Amino acid sequence: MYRYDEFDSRFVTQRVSQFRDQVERRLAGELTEDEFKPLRLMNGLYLQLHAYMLRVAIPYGSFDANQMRKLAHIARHYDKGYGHFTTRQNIQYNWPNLKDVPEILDELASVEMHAIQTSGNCIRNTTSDPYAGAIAGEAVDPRIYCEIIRQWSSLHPEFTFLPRKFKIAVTASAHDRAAIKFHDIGLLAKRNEAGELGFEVLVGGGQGRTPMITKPLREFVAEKDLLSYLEATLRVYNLYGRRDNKYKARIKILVHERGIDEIRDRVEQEWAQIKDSALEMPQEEIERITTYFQGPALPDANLDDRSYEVHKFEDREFAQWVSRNVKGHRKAGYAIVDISLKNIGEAPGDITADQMDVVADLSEKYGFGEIRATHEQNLVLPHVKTEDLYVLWKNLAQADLATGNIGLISDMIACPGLDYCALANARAIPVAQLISKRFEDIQQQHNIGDLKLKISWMYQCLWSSPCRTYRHFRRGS
Amino acid sequence: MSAHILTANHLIEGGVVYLTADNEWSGSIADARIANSEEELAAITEEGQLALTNNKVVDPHTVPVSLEGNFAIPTHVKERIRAKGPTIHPQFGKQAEIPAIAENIATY
Repeated sequence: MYRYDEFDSRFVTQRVSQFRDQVERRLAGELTEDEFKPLRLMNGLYLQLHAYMLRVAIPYGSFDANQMRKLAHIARHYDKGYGHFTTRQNIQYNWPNLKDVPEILDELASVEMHAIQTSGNCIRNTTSDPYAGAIAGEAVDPRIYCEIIRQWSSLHPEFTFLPRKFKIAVTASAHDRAAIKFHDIGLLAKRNEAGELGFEVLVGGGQGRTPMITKPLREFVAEKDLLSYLEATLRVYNLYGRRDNKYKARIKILVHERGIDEIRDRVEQEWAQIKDSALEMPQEEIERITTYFQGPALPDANLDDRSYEVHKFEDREFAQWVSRNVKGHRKAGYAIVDISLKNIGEAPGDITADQMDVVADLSEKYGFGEIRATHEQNLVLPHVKTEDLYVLWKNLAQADLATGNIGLISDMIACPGLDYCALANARAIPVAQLISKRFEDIQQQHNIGDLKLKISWMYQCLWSSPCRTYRHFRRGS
Repeated sequence: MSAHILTANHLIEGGVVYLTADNEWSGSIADARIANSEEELAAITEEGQLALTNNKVVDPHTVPVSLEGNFAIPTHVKERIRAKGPTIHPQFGKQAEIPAIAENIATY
Protein backbone atom coordinates (compact mmCIF):
# COMPACT_ATOMS: atom_id res chain seq x y z
CA MET A 1 0.00 0.00 0.00
CA TYR A 2 1.16 3.51 -0.77
CA ARG A 3 1.81 5.59 2.37
CA TYR A 4 1.52 9.37 2.41
CA ASP A 5 4.78 11.25 2.61
CA GLU A 6 5.05 14.67 4.24
CA PHE A 7 3.93 16.42 1.05
CA ASP A 8 0.83 14.23 0.68
CA SER A 9 -0.20 14.78 4.29
CA ARG A 10 0.30 18.51 4.13
CA PHE A 11 -1.55 18.73 0.81
CA VAL A 12 -4.60 16.83 2.07
CA THR A 13 -4.83 18.57 5.46
CA GLN A 14 -4.43 21.98 3.82
CA ARG A 15 -7.23 21.11 1.44
CA VAL A 16 -9.51 20.09 4.33
CA SER A 17 -8.72 23.35 6.07
CA GLN A 18 -9.51 25.33 2.93
CA PHE A 19 -12.81 23.51 2.48
CA ARG A 20 -13.74 24.03 6.15
CA ASP A 21 -13.29 27.75 5.60
CA GLN A 22 -15.32 27.64 2.37
CA VAL A 23 -18.20 25.83 4.11
CA GLU A 24 -18.17 28.34 6.97
CA ARG A 25 -18.29 31.19 4.48
CA ARG A 26 -21.15 29.51 2.64
CA LEU A 27 -23.14 28.97 5.83
CA ALA A 28 -22.46 32.57 6.85
CA GLY A 29 -23.81 33.79 3.52
CA GLU A 30 -20.47 35.13 2.31
CA LEU A 31 -20.48 32.75 -0.67
CA THR A 32 -23.44 32.25 -2.98
CA GLU A 33 -24.38 28.81 -4.24
CA ASP A 34 -22.99 29.72 -7.67
CA GLU A 35 -19.67 30.60 -6.04
CA PHE A 36 -19.66 27.61 -3.70
CA LYS A 37 -20.77 24.88 -6.12
CA PRO A 38 -17.47 24.51 -8.04
CA LEU A 39 -15.59 24.48 -4.74
CA ARG A 40 -17.68 21.71 -3.23
CA LEU A 41 -17.59 19.69 -6.45
CA MET A 42 -13.79 19.75 -6.49
CA ASN A 43 -14.02 18.17 -3.05
CA GLY A 44 -16.43 15.44 -4.11
CA LEU A 45 -19.56 17.00 -2.63
CA TYR A 46 -22.67 16.91 -4.81
CA LEU A 47 -26.23 17.98 -4.06
CA GLN A 48 -28.47 15.12 -5.10
CA LEU A 49 -32.23 14.58 -4.98
CA HIS A 50 -32.64 14.03 -1.26
CA ALA A 51 -29.47 15.38 0.29
CA TYR A 52 -25.80 16.12 -0.24
CA MET A 53 -23.68 13.22 -1.51
CA LEU A 54 -20.00 12.83 -0.72
CA ARG A 55 -17.85 10.71 -3.04
CA VAL A 56 -14.66 9.46 -1.39
CA ALA A 57 -11.70 8.40 -3.52
CA ILE A 58 -10.19 4.97 -3.14
CA PRO A 59 -7.11 5.39 -5.35
CA TYR A 60 -6.95 2.49 -7.84
CA GLY A 61 -9.35 0.62 -5.55
CA SER A 62 -6.71 -0.35 -2.96
CA PHE A 63 -7.30 0.22 0.72
CA ASP A 64 -6.76 -1.48 4.07
CA ALA A 65 -8.66 -2.63 7.14
CA ASN A 66 -8.13 0.59 9.09
CA GLN A 67 -9.42 2.65 6.19
CA MET A 68 -12.46 0.38 5.85
CA ARG A 69 -13.18 0.82 9.57
CA LYS A 70 -13.01 4.58 9.09
CA LEU A 71 -15.46 4.32 6.19
CA ALA A 72 -17.77 2.31 8.48
CA HIS A 73 -17.40 4.93 11.22
CA ILE A 74 -18.33 7.71 8.80
CA ALA A 75 -21.34 5.75 7.55
CA ARG A 76 -22.50 5.18 11.11
CA HIS A 77 -21.90 8.62 12.61
CA TYR A 78 -22.43 11.04 9.73
CA ASP A 79 -24.71 9.14 7.37
CA LYS A 80 -27.43 6.50 7.62
CA GLY A 81 -25.32 3.45 8.36
CA TYR A 82 -24.32 2.40 4.88
CA GLY A 83 -22.17 3.34 1.91
CA HIS A 84 -22.32 2.68 -1.82
CA PHE A 85 -19.32 1.39 -3.78
CA THR A 86 -19.28 2.85 -7.27
CA THR A 87 -18.20 1.66 -10.71
CA ARG A 88 -14.99 3.70 -10.44
CA GLN A 89 -13.71 2.04 -7.27
CA ASN A 90 -14.91 4.90 -5.03
CA ILE A 91 -17.47 4.97 -2.22
CA GLN A 92 -20.39 7.38 -1.87
CA TYR A 93 -22.36 8.56 1.14
CA ASN A 94 -25.87 9.70 0.28
CA TRP A 95 -26.99 11.69 3.33
CA PRO A 96 -24.27 13.88 4.90
CA ASN A 97 -25.04 17.36 6.25
CA LEU A 98 -23.04 20.19 4.75
CA LYS A 99 -21.83 21.36 8.15
CA ASP A 100 -20.42 17.87 8.89
CA VAL A 101 -18.45 17.48 5.68
CA PRO A 102 -15.24 19.24 6.83
CA GLU A 103 -15.21 16.94 9.86
CA ILE A 104 -15.72 13.90 7.61
CA LEU A 105 -12.81 15.04 5.44
CA ASP A 106 -10.70 15.42 8.60
CA GLU A 107 -11.61 11.86 9.57
CA LEU A 108 -10.64 10.65 6.09
CA ALA A 109 -7.33 12.52 6.18
CA SER A 110 -6.48 10.76 9.43
CA VAL A 111 -6.35 7.48 7.47
CA GLU A 112 -4.79 8.96 4.32
CA MET A 113 -8.02 9.28 2.34
CA HIS A 114 -9.78 12.21 0.70
CA ALA A 115 -12.47 13.24 -1.77
CA ILE A 116 -10.34 15.47 -4.00
CA GLN A 117 -11.03 15.32 -7.75
CA THR A 118 -13.86 12.84 -7.40
CA SER A 119 -15.92 15.37 -9.32
CA GLY A 120 -15.38 18.29 -11.67
CA ASN A 121 -13.82 18.60 -15.11
CA CYS A 122 -10.44 17.27 -14.05
CA ILE A 123 -8.51 13.99 -14.08
CA ARG A 124 -10.48 11.66 -11.82
CA ASN A 125 -9.42 8.72 -9.70
CA THR A 126 -7.21 6.46 -11.83
CA THR A 127 -8.66 2.96 -11.72
CA SER A 128 -6.98 -0.40 -12.05
CA ASP A 129 -7.22 -4.17 -11.92
CA PRO A 130 -8.62 -5.21 -8.53
CA TYR A 131 -6.42 -8.30 -8.65
CA ALA A 132 -3.24 -6.24 -9.18
CA GLY A 133 -0.25 -7.61 -7.32
CA ALA A 134 -2.01 -10.89 -6.64
CA ILE A 135 -2.79 -12.40 -10.03
CA ALA A 136 -0.17 -14.31 -12.00
CA GLY A 137 1.13 -13.10 -15.34
CA GLU A 138 1.21 -9.34 -14.84
CA ALA A 139 3.90 -7.37 -16.66
CA VAL A 140 4.17 -5.24 -13.53
CA ASP A 141 1.92 -4.10 -10.68
CA PRO A 142 -0.19 -1.45 -12.46
CA ARG A 143 -0.90 0.39 -9.20
CA ILE A 144 2.66 1.77 -9.24
CA TYR A 145 1.78 3.78 -12.33
CA CYS A 146 -1.70 4.64 -11.04
CA GLU A 147 0.01 6.20 -8.03
CA ILE A 148 2.46 8.08 -10.26
CA ILE A 149 -0.47 9.35 -12.34
CA ARG A 150 -2.31 10.31 -9.13
CA GLN A 151 0.61 12.41 -7.98
CA TRP A 152 1.06 14.00 -11.42
CA SER A 153 -2.63 14.76 -11.92
CA SER A 154 -3.57 16.00 -8.43
CA LEU A 155 -4.24 19.74 -8.73
CA HIS A 156 -2.38 19.78 -12.06
CA PRO A 157 -2.64 23.50 -12.88
CA GLU A 158 -3.13 22.93 -16.59
CA PHE A 159 -5.77 20.23 -16.27
CA THR A 160 -8.06 21.51 -13.52
CA PHE A 161 -10.59 22.99 -15.96
CA LEU A 162 -10.69 20.54 -18.85
CA PRO A 163 -13.59 20.56 -21.34
CA ARG A 164 -15.06 17.66 -19.33
CA LYS A 165 -14.02 15.09 -16.77
CA PHE A 166 -11.19 12.74 -17.71
CA LYS A 167 -10.82 9.11 -16.65
CA ILE A 168 -7.73 6.91 -16.92
CA ALA A 169 -7.51 3.18 -16.26
CA VAL A 170 -4.37 1.03 -16.09
CA THR A 171 -3.94 -2.72 -16.30
CA ALA A 172 -0.97 -5.01 -16.75
CA SER A 173 -2.74 -8.25 -17.60
CA ALA A 174 -3.82 -9.69 -20.91
CA HIS A 175 -7.20 -10.31 -19.24
CA ASP A 176 -8.57 -6.79 -18.84
CA ARG A 177 -10.33 -6.42 -15.48
CA ALA A 178 -10.12 -2.61 -15.53
CA ALA A 179 -12.29 -1.96 -18.61
CA ILE A 180 -9.48 0.11 -20.15
CA LYS A 181 -11.18 0.28 -23.55
CA PHE A 182 -14.06 2.26 -22.05
CA HIS A 183 -11.98 5.06 -20.56
CA ASP A 184 -10.76 8.39 -21.90
CA ILE A 185 -7.28 6.87 -21.78
CA GLY A 186 -6.59 3.17 -21.27
CA LEU A 187 -3.07 2.01 -20.49
CA LEU A 188 -1.87 -1.56 -20.90
CA ALA A 189 1.52 -2.12 -19.27
CA LYS A 190 3.62 -4.60 -21.22
CA ARG A 191 7.20 -5.44 -22.16
CA ASN A 192 8.73 -5.00 -25.60
CA GLU A 193 10.91 -7.55 -27.35
CA ALA A 194 13.92 -6.26 -25.44
CA GLY A 195 12.10 -6.89 -22.19
CA GLU A 196 11.72 -3.18 -21.43
CA LEU A 197 8.60 -2.01 -19.65
CA GLY A 198 6.24 0.39 -21.37
CA PHE A 199 2.60 1.08 -22.12
CA GLU A 200 0.21 0.61 -25.00
CA VAL A 201 -1.92 3.76 -25.03
CA LEU A 202 -5.59 3.68 -26.03
CA VAL A 203 -7.73 6.79 -26.28
CA GLY A 204 -11.32 7.91 -26.73
CA GLY A 205 -13.42 5.26 -25.03
CA GLY A 206 -16.45 6.10 -22.98
CA GLN A 207 -20.08 5.51 -22.20
CA GLY A 208 -23.05 7.77 -21.69
CA ARG A 209 -25.31 8.65 -24.59
CA THR A 210 -22.48 8.10 -27.11
CA PRO A 211 -20.76 4.84 -26.16
CA MET A 212 -17.39 4.32 -27.87
CA ILE A 213 -14.49 1.90 -27.64
CA THR A 214 -10.96 3.30 -27.47
CA LYS A 215 -8.75 3.56 -30.51
CA PRO A 216 -5.03 2.80 -30.48
CA LEU A 217 -2.95 5.96 -29.97
CA ARG A 218 0.53 4.49 -29.54
CA GLU A 219 1.71 0.90 -29.53
CA PHE A 220 4.46 1.45 -26.99
CA VAL A 221 5.49 4.31 -24.74
CA ALA A 222 8.58 3.65 -22.64
CA GLU A 223 8.09 3.66 -18.88
CA LYS A 224 10.14 6.82 -18.34
CA ASP A 225 8.07 8.69 -20.94
CA LEU A 226 4.62 7.85 -19.59
CA LEU A 227 3.90 11.20 -17.94
CA SER A 228 5.18 13.31 -20.84
CA TYR A 229 3.05 11.29 -23.26
CA LEU A 230 -0.02 11.64 -21.04
CA GLU A 231 0.65 15.35 -20.68
CA ALA A 232 0.90 15.73 -24.46
CA THR A 233 -2.39 13.87 -24.93
CA LEU A 234 -4.17 15.93 -22.28
CA ARG A 235 -2.83 19.13 -23.85
CA VAL A 236 -4.25 18.18 -27.24
CA TYR A 237 -7.60 17.43 -25.61
CA ASN A 238 -7.52 20.62 -23.56
CA LEU A 239 -6.73 22.68 -26.64
CA TYR A 240 -9.05 21.10 -29.19
CA GLY A 241 -11.78 19.47 -27.07
CA ARG A 242 -15.15 21.11 -27.58
CA ARG A 243 -16.38 23.52 -24.95
CA ASP A 244 -19.43 24.74 -26.85
CA ASN A 245 -21.57 21.71 -26.08
CA LYS A 246 -21.14 19.57 -22.98
CA TYR A 247 -22.73 16.65 -24.80
CA LYS A 248 -19.79 16.75 -27.21
CA ALA A 249 -17.00 17.64 -24.82
CA ARG A 250 -15.44 14.28 -23.95
CA ILE A 251 -12.25 13.21 -25.73
CA LYS A 252 -14.11 10.36 -27.41
CA ILE A 253 -16.00 12.96 -29.46
CA LEU A 254 -12.78 14.78 -30.36
CA VAL A 255 -11.21 11.53 -31.54
CA HIS A 256 -14.36 10.62 -33.43
CA GLU A 257 -14.70 14.02 -35.15
CA ARG A 258 -11.03 14.63 -35.96
CA GLY A 259 -10.04 11.01 -36.53
CA ILE A 260 -7.43 9.05 -34.63
CA ASP A 261 -4.69 9.82 -37.17
CA GLU A 262 -4.99 13.59 -36.72
CA ILE A 263 -5.11 13.24 -32.94
CA ARG A 264 -2.06 10.97 -33.01
CA ASP A 265 -0.15 13.49 -35.16
CA ARG A 266 -0.98 16.35 -32.82
CA VAL A 267 -0.02 14.34 -29.75
CA GLU A 268 3.27 13.33 -31.35
CA GLN A 269 4.03 16.98 -32.23
CA GLU A 270 3.28 18.08 -28.68
CA TRP A 271 5.21 15.17 -27.21
CA ALA A 272 8.29 16.05 -29.24
CA GLN A 273 8.35 19.38 -27.38
CA ILE A 274 8.20 17.93 -23.85
CA LYS A 275 9.47 14.37 -24.10
CA ASP A 276 12.83 15.00 -22.48
CA SER A 277 11.60 17.63 -20.04
CA ALA A 278 11.23 17.41 -16.28
CA LEU A 279 8.32 15.05 -16.92
CA GLU A 280 10.74 12.20 -17.63
CA MET A 281 10.29 9.85 -14.72
CA PRO A 282 13.47 9.27 -12.68
CA GLN A 283 14.16 5.58 -12.18
CA GLU A 284 14.88 6.09 -8.49
CA GLU A 285 11.43 7.66 -7.99
CA ILE A 286 9.75 4.75 -9.78
CA GLU A 287 11.70 2.38 -7.54
CA ARG A 288 10.71 4.35 -4.43
CA ILE A 289 7.02 4.08 -5.29
CA THR A 290 7.43 0.45 -6.31
CA THR A 291 8.52 -0.42 -2.77
CA TYR A 292 5.04 0.53 -1.52
CA PHE A 293 3.44 -2.08 -3.74
CA GLN A 294 5.56 -5.11 -2.98
CA GLY A 295 2.64 -6.51 -1.00
CA PRO A 296 2.71 -8.47 2.22
CA ALA A 297 5.36 -11.10 2.78
CA LEU A 298 3.33 -14.22 2.10
CA PRO A 299 4.54 -17.16 4.18
CA ASP A 300 4.58 -20.45 2.35
CA ALA A 301 1.27 -22.25 2.65
CA ASN A 302 1.05 -25.88 3.71
CA LEU A 303 0.56 -27.46 0.30
CA ASP A 304 -0.06 -30.85 1.91
CA ASP A 305 -3.18 -29.53 3.65
CA ARG A 306 -6.15 -31.18 1.88
CA SER A 307 -8.88 -29.60 4.03
CA TYR A 308 -9.84 -27.11 1.29
CA GLU A 309 -10.47 -29.90 -1.20
CA VAL A 310 -12.33 -31.92 1.41
CA HIS A 311 -14.61 -28.99 2.28
CA LYS A 312 -15.36 -28.43 -1.40
CA PHE A 313 -16.24 -32.10 -1.76
CA GLU A 314 -18.43 -32.21 1.34
CA ASP A 315 -20.16 -28.81 1.19
CA ARG A 316 -21.88 -28.09 -2.12
CA GLU A 317 -22.70 -24.45 -1.26
CA PHE A 318 -19.06 -23.79 -0.44
CA ALA A 319 -17.99 -25.41 -3.69
CA GLN A 320 -20.44 -23.25 -5.65
CA TRP A 321 -19.16 -20.09 -3.97
CA VAL A 322 -15.58 -21.11 -4.72
CA SER A 323 -16.43 -21.76 -8.35
CA ARG A 324 -17.49 -18.14 -8.85
CA ASN A 325 -15.79 -16.06 -6.14
CA VAL A 326 -12.31 -17.57 -5.78
CA LYS A 327 -9.52 -17.03 -8.30
CA GLY A 328 -6.00 -18.38 -8.59
CA HIS A 329 -3.17 -16.46 -6.92
CA ARG A 330 0.37 -15.95 -8.16
CA LYS A 331 1.63 -17.86 -5.10
CA ALA A 332 0.81 -21.52 -4.61
CA GLY A 333 -1.52 -22.17 -1.70
CA TYR A 334 -3.13 -18.72 -1.90
CA ALA A 335 -6.29 -17.41 -3.55
CA ILE A 336 -7.98 -14.15 -4.52
CA VAL A 337 -11.45 -13.83 -2.98
CA ASP A 338 -14.29 -11.76 -4.45
CA ILE A 339 -16.86 -10.55 -1.92
CA SER A 340 -20.10 -9.96 -3.76
CA LEU A 341 -22.12 -6.86 -2.86
CA LYS A 342 -25.01 -8.17 -4.94
CA ASN A 343 -27.31 -9.93 -2.53
CA ILE A 344 -30.64 -10.81 -4.09
CA GLY A 345 -32.98 -7.83 -4.07
CA GLU A 346 -30.40 -5.38 -2.69
CA ALA A 347 -28.98 -2.29 -4.35
CA PRO A 348 -25.74 -3.25 -6.16
CA GLY A 349 -22.70 -1.85 -4.34
CA ASP A 350 -24.49 -1.06 -1.08
CA ILE A 351 -22.81 -2.19 2.13
CA THR A 352 -23.76 -1.49 5.74
CA ALA A 353 -21.36 -0.09 8.31
CA ASP A 354 -21.51 -3.38 10.22
CA GLN A 355 -20.59 -5.31 7.06
CA MET A 356 -17.71 -2.93 6.44
CA ASP A 357 -16.39 -3.73 9.91
CA VAL A 358 -16.75 -7.46 9.22
CA VAL A 359 -14.77 -7.15 5.99
CA ALA A 360 -12.10 -5.15 7.80
CA ASP A 361 -11.82 -7.77 10.55
CA LEU A 362 -11.74 -10.69 8.11
CA SER A 363 -9.19 -8.97 5.90
CA GLU A 364 -6.89 -8.64 8.90
CA LYS A 365 -7.50 -12.17 10.10
CA TYR A 366 -7.19 -13.94 6.75
CA GLY A 367 -5.93 -11.44 4.17
CA PHE A 368 -3.05 -9.37 5.57
CA GLY A 369 -5.40 -6.39 5.97
CA GLU A 370 -5.62 -5.67 2.24
CA ILE A 371 -8.93 -4.89 0.51
CA ARG A 372 -9.79 -3.88 -3.05
CA ALA A 373 -12.88 -2.20 -4.49
CA THR A 374 -13.79 -3.36 -7.99
CA HIS A 375 -15.32 -1.45 -10.89
CA GLU A 376 -18.07 -4.07 -10.77
CA GLN A 377 -19.13 -2.77 -7.34
CA ASN A 378 -17.75 -5.69 -5.35
CA LEU A 379 -14.86 -6.11 -2.92
CA VAL A 380 -11.78 -8.33 -3.06
CA LEU A 381 -9.46 -9.87 -0.48
CA PRO A 382 -6.38 -10.32 -2.68
CA HIS A 383 -4.24 -12.63 -0.53
CA VAL A 384 -5.99 -15.49 1.30
CA LYS A 385 -4.54 -18.92 2.07
CA THR A 386 -6.65 -21.64 0.48
CA GLU A 387 -6.66 -23.48 3.79
CA ASP A 388 -8.50 -20.46 5.29
CA LEU A 389 -11.15 -20.21 2.60
CA TYR A 390 -13.75 -22.38 4.31
CA VAL A 391 -13.72 -20.53 7.61
CA LEU A 392 -13.61 -17.20 5.74
CA TRP A 393 -16.67 -18.22 3.74
CA LYS A 394 -18.49 -19.22 6.95
CA ASN A 395 -17.73 -15.84 8.48
CA LEU A 396 -18.78 -13.97 5.35
CA ALA A 397 -22.05 -15.92 5.31
CA GLN A 398 -22.86 -14.78 8.85
CA ALA A 399 -22.67 -11.20 7.58
CA ASP A 400 -24.68 -11.85 4.38
CA LEU A 401 -21.54 -11.40 2.33
CA ALA A 402 -21.16 -14.88 0.88
CA THR A 403 -23.30 -14.66 -2.25
CA GLY A 404 -21.55 -16.85 -4.82
CA ASN A 405 -22.60 -15.00 -7.95
CA ILE A 406 -19.54 -13.29 -9.43
CA GLY A 407 -20.03 -13.00 -13.20
CA LEU A 408 -23.57 -14.39 -13.05
CA ILE A 409 -26.74 -12.53 -13.97
CA SER A 410 -27.38 -11.26 -10.43
CA ASP A 411 -23.88 -9.73 -10.30
CA MET A 412 -25.18 -6.64 -12.06
CA ILE A 413 -23.76 -3.19 -11.82
CA ALA A 414 -26.16 -0.27 -11.89
CA CYS A 415 -26.01 3.48 -11.60
CA PRO A 416 -27.95 5.09 -8.73
CA GLY A 417 -30.45 6.44 -11.27
CA LEU A 418 -33.48 8.46 -10.34
CA ASP A 419 -33.60 7.17 -6.79
CA TYR A 420 -30.69 9.44 -5.86
CA CYS A 421 -29.18 11.18 -8.88
CA ALA A 422 -30.36 14.72 -9.66
CA LEU A 423 -29.42 14.24 -13.32
CA ALA A 424 -31.27 10.97 -13.91
CA ASN A 425 -34.61 10.60 -15.58
CA ALA A 426 -35.21 6.91 -14.97
CA ARG A 427 -34.61 4.40 -12.21
CA ALA A 428 -31.90 1.77 -12.63
CA ILE A 429 -31.51 -0.02 -9.30
CA PRO A 430 -35.16 -1.18 -9.03
CA VAL A 431 -34.72 -2.92 -12.39
CA ALA A 432 -31.58 -4.62 -11.08
CA GLN A 433 -33.45 -5.67 -7.94
CA LEU A 434 -36.35 -7.15 -9.89
CA ILE A 435 -34.05 -9.08 -12.22
CA SER A 436 -32.04 -10.48 -9.34
CA LYS A 437 -35.26 -11.59 -7.63
CA ARG A 438 -36.45 -13.20 -10.86
CA PHE A 439 -33.21 -15.21 -10.97
CA GLU A 440 -33.06 -15.74 -7.21
CA ASP A 441 -32.32 -19.46 -7.55
CA ILE A 442 -28.52 -19.59 -7.48
CA GLN A 443 -28.54 -23.01 -9.12
CA GLN A 444 -30.42 -21.56 -12.09
CA GLN A 445 -27.84 -18.78 -12.31
CA HIS A 446 -25.02 -21.33 -12.32
CA ASN A 447 -26.81 -23.28 -15.03
CA ILE A 448 -27.04 -20.14 -17.17
CA GLY A 449 -23.36 -19.42 -16.59
CA ASP A 450 -21.43 -16.24 -17.34
CA LEU A 451 -23.85 -13.45 -18.08
CA LYS A 452 -22.97 -9.84 -17.38
CA LEU A 453 -25.74 -7.28 -17.23
CA LYS A 454 -25.18 -3.57 -16.70
CA ILE A 455 -27.97 -1.10 -16.10
CA SER A 456 -27.93 2.64 -16.47
CA TRP A 457 -30.23 5.45 -17.46
CA MET A 458 -27.49 5.90 -20.04
CA TYR A 459 -29.22 7.19 -23.15
CA GLN A 460 -29.74 10.49 -21.41
CA CYS A 461 -26.68 10.16 -19.20
CA LEU A 462 -23.69 12.36 -19.88
CA TRP A 463 -22.09 11.17 -16.72
CA SER A 464 -22.35 7.41 -17.16
CA SER A 465 -19.27 5.70 -15.80
CA PRO A 466 -17.08 3.72 -18.17
CA CYS A 467 -18.02 0.31 -16.98
CA ARG A 468 -21.76 0.17 -16.92
CA THR A 469 -22.91 -0.77 -20.34
CA TYR A 470 -20.56 -2.73 -22.58
CA ARG A 471 -21.47 -6.23 -21.55
CA HIS A 472 -23.64 -9.07 -22.71
CA PHE A 473 -26.72 -6.87 -22.45
CA ARG A 474 -27.31 -3.29 -21.66
CA ARG A 475 -30.40 -1.42 -20.64
CA GLY A 476 -30.98 2.30 -20.95
CA SER A 477 -33.84 4.54 -20.06
CA MET B 1 -53.14 26.68 -15.10
CA SER B 2 -52.36 23.58 -13.06
CA ALA B 3 -51.59 23.91 -9.37
CA HIS B 4 -47.94 24.41 -8.41
CA ILE B 5 -45.85 24.28 -5.28
CA LEU B 6 -42.35 25.56 -4.55
CA THR B 7 -39.60 23.20 -3.48
CA ALA B 8 -35.84 23.45 -2.82
CA ASN B 9 -33.07 21.77 -0.84
CA HIS B 10 -32.17 23.02 2.62
CA LEU B 11 -28.77 24.66 2.62
CA ILE B 12 -27.33 22.85 5.66
CA GLU B 13 -29.01 19.43 5.62
CA GLY B 14 -29.51 19.29 1.87
CA GLY B 15 -32.94 17.76 2.50
CA VAL B 16 -36.00 18.45 0.35
CA VAL B 17 -38.12 21.34 1.66
CA TYR B 18 -41.34 23.07 0.59
CA LEU B 19 -42.53 26.63 0.95
CA THR B 20 -45.49 26.75 3.35
CA ALA B 21 -48.50 29.05 3.56
CA ASP B 22 -46.60 31.02 6.24
CA ASN B 23 -43.66 31.44 3.85
CA GLU B 24 -41.57 29.15 6.04
CA TRP B 25 -39.92 25.93 4.86
CA SER B 26 -41.19 22.46 5.76
CA GLY B 27 -39.77 19.02 5.07
CA SER B 28 -43.25 17.71 4.34
CA ILE B 29 -45.01 18.20 1.05
CA ALA B 30 -48.25 18.03 3.04
CA ASP B 31 -47.43 21.52 4.33
CA ALA B 32 -46.76 23.01 0.89
CA ARG B 33 -48.40 26.28 -0.12
CA ILE B 34 -50.37 25.67 -3.29
CA ALA B 35 -50.42 28.24 -6.08
CA ASN B 36 -53.57 28.10 -8.20
CA SER B 37 -53.10 31.22 -10.30
CA GLU B 38 -50.40 32.99 -12.28
CA GLU B 39 -50.20 35.62 -9.55
CA GLU B 40 -49.71 33.02 -6.82
CA LEU B 41 -47.14 31.20 -8.95
CA ALA B 42 -45.19 34.45 -9.36
CA ALA B 43 -45.45 35.05 -5.63
CA ILE B 44 -44.02 31.67 -4.60
CA THR B 45 -41.31 31.95 -7.25
CA GLU B 46 -40.31 35.28 -5.74
CA GLU B 47 -40.24 33.75 -2.25
CA GLY B 48 -37.89 31.08 -3.57
CA GLN B 49 -35.49 33.62 -5.02
CA LEU B 50 -35.56 35.53 -1.75
CA ALA B 51 -34.73 32.39 0.22
CA LEU B 52 -31.93 31.60 -2.23
CA THR B 53 -30.51 35.10 -1.84
CA ASN B 54 -30.79 34.80 1.95
CA ASN B 55 -28.94 31.46 1.84
CA LYS B 56 -31.74 29.44 3.38
CA VAL B 57 -32.17 27.03 0.46
CA VAL B 58 -30.54 25.82 -2.74
CA ASP B 59 -32.15 25.27 -6.15
CA PRO B 60 -35.68 26.62 -5.53
CA HIS B 61 -38.06 25.58 -8.29
CA THR B 62 -41.76 25.26 -8.85
CA VAL B 63 -43.41 21.91 -9.42
CA PRO B 64 -46.77 21.14 -11.03
CA VAL B 65 -49.03 19.09 -8.80
CA SER B 66 -52.41 17.43 -8.81
CA LEU B 67 -54.58 17.76 -5.73
CA GLU B 68 -56.03 14.80 -3.89
CA GLY B 69 -58.07 16.49 -1.20
CA ASN B 70 -55.65 19.01 0.24
CA PHE B 71 -52.66 16.81 -0.56
CA ALA B 72 -50.39 17.97 -3.38
CA ILE B 73 -49.06 15.14 -5.55
CA PRO B 74 -46.27 16.12 -8.00
CA THR B 75 -47.14 15.13 -11.53
CA HIS B 76 -43.56 14.10 -12.40
CA VAL B 77 -42.14 10.92 -10.88
CA LYS B 78 -38.81 12.63 -10.10
CA GLU B 79 -40.58 15.09 -7.83
CA ARG B 80 -42.65 12.33 -6.26
CA ILE B 81 -39.42 10.50 -5.41
CA ARG B 82 -37.99 13.75 -3.99
CA ALA B 83 -41.11 14.19 -1.89
CA LYS B 84 -41.14 10.62 -0.62
CA GLY B 85 -37.59 9.27 -0.59
CA PRO B 86 -35.60 6.68 -2.56
CA THR B 87 -37.81 3.83 -3.76
CA ILE B 88 -34.98 1.38 -3.13
CA HIS B 89 -34.56 2.45 0.49
CA PRO B 90 -38.04 2.84 2.04
CA GLN B 91 -36.38 3.10 5.43
CA PHE B 92 -34.87 6.48 4.48
CA GLY B 93 -36.24 9.87 3.50
CA LYS B 94 -39.60 11.51 4.19
CA GLN B 95 -41.47 8.22 3.72
CA ALA B 96 -39.78 6.89 6.85
CA GLU B 97 -40.56 9.97 8.91
CA ILE B 98 -44.03 11.08 7.79
CA PRO B 99 -46.69 8.34 7.44
CA ALA B 100 -49.02 10.55 5.38
CA ILE B 101 -46.37 10.85 2.68
CA ALA B 102 -45.79 7.12 2.51
CA GLU B 103 -49.55 6.61 2.24
CA ASN B 104 -50.43 9.32 -0.27
CA ILE B 105 -47.59 9.39 -2.78
CA ALA B 106 -47.05 6.53 -5.17
CA THR B 107 -43.72 6.35 -6.99
CA TYR B 108 -44.48 3.34 -9.19
